[in-house]
Amino acid sequence: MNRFILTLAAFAIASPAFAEPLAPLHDGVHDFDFAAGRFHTHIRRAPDPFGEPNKWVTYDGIKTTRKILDGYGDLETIEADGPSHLQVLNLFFYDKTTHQWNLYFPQGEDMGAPAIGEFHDGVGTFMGQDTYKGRTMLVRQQWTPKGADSYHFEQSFSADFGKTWVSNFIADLVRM
Amino acid sequence: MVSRKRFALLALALLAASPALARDGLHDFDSEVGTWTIHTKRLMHPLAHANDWVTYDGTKTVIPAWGGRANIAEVREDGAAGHLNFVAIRLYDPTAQQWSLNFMSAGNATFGIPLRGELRNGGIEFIGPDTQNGRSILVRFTSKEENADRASSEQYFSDDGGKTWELNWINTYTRTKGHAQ
Repeated sequence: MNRFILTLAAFAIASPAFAEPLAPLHDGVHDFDFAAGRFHTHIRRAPDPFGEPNKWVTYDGIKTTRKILDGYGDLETIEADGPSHLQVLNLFFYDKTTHQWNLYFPQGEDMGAPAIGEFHDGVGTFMGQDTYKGRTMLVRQQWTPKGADSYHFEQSFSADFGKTWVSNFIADLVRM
Repeated sequence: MVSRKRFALLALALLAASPALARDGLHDFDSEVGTWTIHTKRLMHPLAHANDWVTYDGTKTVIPAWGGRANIAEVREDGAAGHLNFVAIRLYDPTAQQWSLNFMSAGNATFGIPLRGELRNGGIEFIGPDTQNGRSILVRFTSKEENADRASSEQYFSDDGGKTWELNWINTYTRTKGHAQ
């Protein structure tokens, strides 16, 4: 236990992020408004990002986001076709206490663990856990609005606790 | 060694005793898709020997996803006790042939333990653990259809491991004409 605390203390000293005060919370309930509605989505996906990082497949389809819970939630569905048919259901919830968005990507009957984050300087960054071939990895999503009617989405995995990132899902969306 | 005939009889007896086994429930919620008015009676202080029932009125909207394997019901209601706005997310597990039921209210972002359920006793019945004032309890949620345009649901809590159940939530639903699918 003592050794654990010492390690933590050393980490805190070595890591300047601990010394900086947290930025004041802003009301981010409208930060996902840009993504509401129907968009054409062009998707590039790496089926095996660590094994074959240069192999990409493409999909085209429709992404629909419907506001729920008086704007405190988003219901996102994706229907796209490529080498296979993609059918995705995602649910995003704004936590009015932490001012963060929790992004859920249900699999089967399980809501799963959320990716959590917020928008800063025009980019939304969300961190969570995922699995790749049964191993737990970090997953990062970045949402970048490009004007009122388009945005860019990129998801990456890290197998080394965030030192390096490998993209596996990139989408460019244009409002229909 | 069990004879083949005896084994067949045993299997039959097992089947008869387990009516919920091996039933595809994928379409259990198809008929709920659409818009409904909702009237709610809610016990404000469950498991407290209270009788402080309040009423709410509003709408319920059910949206399908994943080709029917998931659906999202959003409830918006108002009453003397305030405003209710939450979603119930139902996800189907084709292997277990059960649904999970996940609740989230506006402004929150963390799910509790999901209830699990299936068609039982003529309605869909969900059951699972929860907490009430820091104590572990059991929750039972049942929903029944009277006909294509009328349905009801009830929620019960138990703090004695399921021996006795206290009713604390009653919803009645009427389909809004013109929105039926």
